[in-house]
Amino acid sequence: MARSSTENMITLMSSDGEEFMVTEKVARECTTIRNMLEDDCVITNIPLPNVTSDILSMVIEYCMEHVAAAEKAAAETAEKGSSSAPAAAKANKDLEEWDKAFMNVDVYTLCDLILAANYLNVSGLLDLTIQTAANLIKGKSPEQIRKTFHIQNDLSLEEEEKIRSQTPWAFEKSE
Amino acid sequence: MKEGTKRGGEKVGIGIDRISSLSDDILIPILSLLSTKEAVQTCILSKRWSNVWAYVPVLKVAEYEFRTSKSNHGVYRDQSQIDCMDKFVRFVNGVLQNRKSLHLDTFNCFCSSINTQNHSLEWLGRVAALMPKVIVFYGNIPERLDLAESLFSCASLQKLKLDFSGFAKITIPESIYLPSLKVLELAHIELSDDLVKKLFSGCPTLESLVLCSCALTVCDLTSDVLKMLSIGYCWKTDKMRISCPGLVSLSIDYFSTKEEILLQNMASLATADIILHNYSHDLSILSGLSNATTLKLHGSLNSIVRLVKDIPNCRTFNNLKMLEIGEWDMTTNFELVACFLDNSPNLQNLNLQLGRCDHTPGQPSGPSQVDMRDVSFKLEYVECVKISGGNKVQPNILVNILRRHIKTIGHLLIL
Repeated sequence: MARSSTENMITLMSSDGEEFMVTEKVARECTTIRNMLEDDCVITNIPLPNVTSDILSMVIEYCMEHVAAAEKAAAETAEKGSSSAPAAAKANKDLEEWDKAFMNVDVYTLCDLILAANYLNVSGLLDLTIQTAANLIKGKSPEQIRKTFHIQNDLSLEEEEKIRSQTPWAFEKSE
Repeated sequence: MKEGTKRGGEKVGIGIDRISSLSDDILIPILSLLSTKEAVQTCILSKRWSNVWAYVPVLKVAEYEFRTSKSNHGVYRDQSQIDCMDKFVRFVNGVLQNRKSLHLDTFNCFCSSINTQNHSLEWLGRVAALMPKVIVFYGNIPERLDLAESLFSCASLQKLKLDFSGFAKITIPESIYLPSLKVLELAHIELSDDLVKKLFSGCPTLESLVLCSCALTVCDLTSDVLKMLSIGYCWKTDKMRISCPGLVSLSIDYFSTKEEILLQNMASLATADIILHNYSHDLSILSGLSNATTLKLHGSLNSIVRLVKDIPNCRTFNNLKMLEIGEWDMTTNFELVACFLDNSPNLQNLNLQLGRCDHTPGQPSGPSQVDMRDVSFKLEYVECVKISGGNKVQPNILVNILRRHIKTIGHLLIL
């Protein structure tokens, strides 16, 4: 991270004790951290007992990419006076592509990312991960969903029948 | 570039059900992104999932999810089609009766057959009582329509979209009071002066109004609070005056009328996107556009000829930075472009999209109407001029005409 020395650096510490130095700007992408910084502006070391190092490194990677994209867009706007629509559209598309590639993770990691995004309150990452999870459910049969997320069906046949008979309207086939 | 090995490689969690251990606070937003049918059907995944759907604050139901491939829109005659419709009605009723949350955020309902109309109107009344923020309703309702009073007095509603493909005439409720409404989108609805009056007085925070394929019997569209107005594929038979001093963005696309359109009191208007196809009646819009920074004006030749008559009312476009003009042959009908160029001292970007040529290539009609002796430029410098469309000779003719109005062109792009 080649940054100007004037920029404040914050150390984030994962649950397994790993330390991550990030710029204050990147850290502020997490609303939870932003609120801590606003309450206590001298804080430089933040323990995050709910986030493991591999997940925290991914969250930081996401925040850095999005901060860089926003900075680039702001610089272009400042340079040209106004942002050109096609360039902004392309930048957006690039970031979307990056997000899409970033979401190429197993479902376990995806769930951990959702938890971390929720805890750290990174709204963009939360939206992205939740949408990814929803997309994994969309269009699948219950059996396929169970397989995708390794969900053990702990309902007995009788219990499943009971649910189906209580909600007959939910399972009518459109054939 | 990416630490693929770290992510795709050996991981402790492979094969473990992580999602079921997430709290309802997280599962509910995930299910909110699905259709209600998909959300409900997660109830048999496992014990953990049996009740999650019942707290989802979003209802997204569509009749076509229950339709067979054979059935179409409109009236159902075939028994199998009626069965599908019945399944849909049973489903929505079942969801409304069995959901456990007392609150609803969003109701998104798409009914394609006429047969469901009575049910769907009842649903609208029911969900309006659950304090929703967003209602999007599409119904095939061909007749007069009595919408539940509760819909028009819903204090929480921020966005309302009603589309009645059968062209419903809304029975106007005694009073409308939607104190939180910001966005209103209406399609296939007859909009009368009475309805507009009640809407504007009953929606004190309305910022955005979108009218699509509406029959406009309204003559006066006056609002102090409206920021965005979009009128698309609408028609009307009377003169209409649009007077919205707070309006920032205006879009008019294919607006057919037999009488004049008048734009007045548009002091805040920053962007306007106006498309006039085969418009054959008077327009008084240029003076209303005079504060715009971005202006897109497209039209067929006969519409533009009408607009040329409005030139005497045109004031200076002091804020105009971006002008896009399109679709007619500007090499022979340059008057309107000239009017803009001579009255827009701060123009930076000019985008001219040439329409089909009215004369054969090879015998370019000279710009005889342009006064060649006039050398006092009203427009000193335009940063970028883009010309697209037309035949081989039109763009060059256009450049020659432009050079008589603009002293210096920064970049000239002929696409």
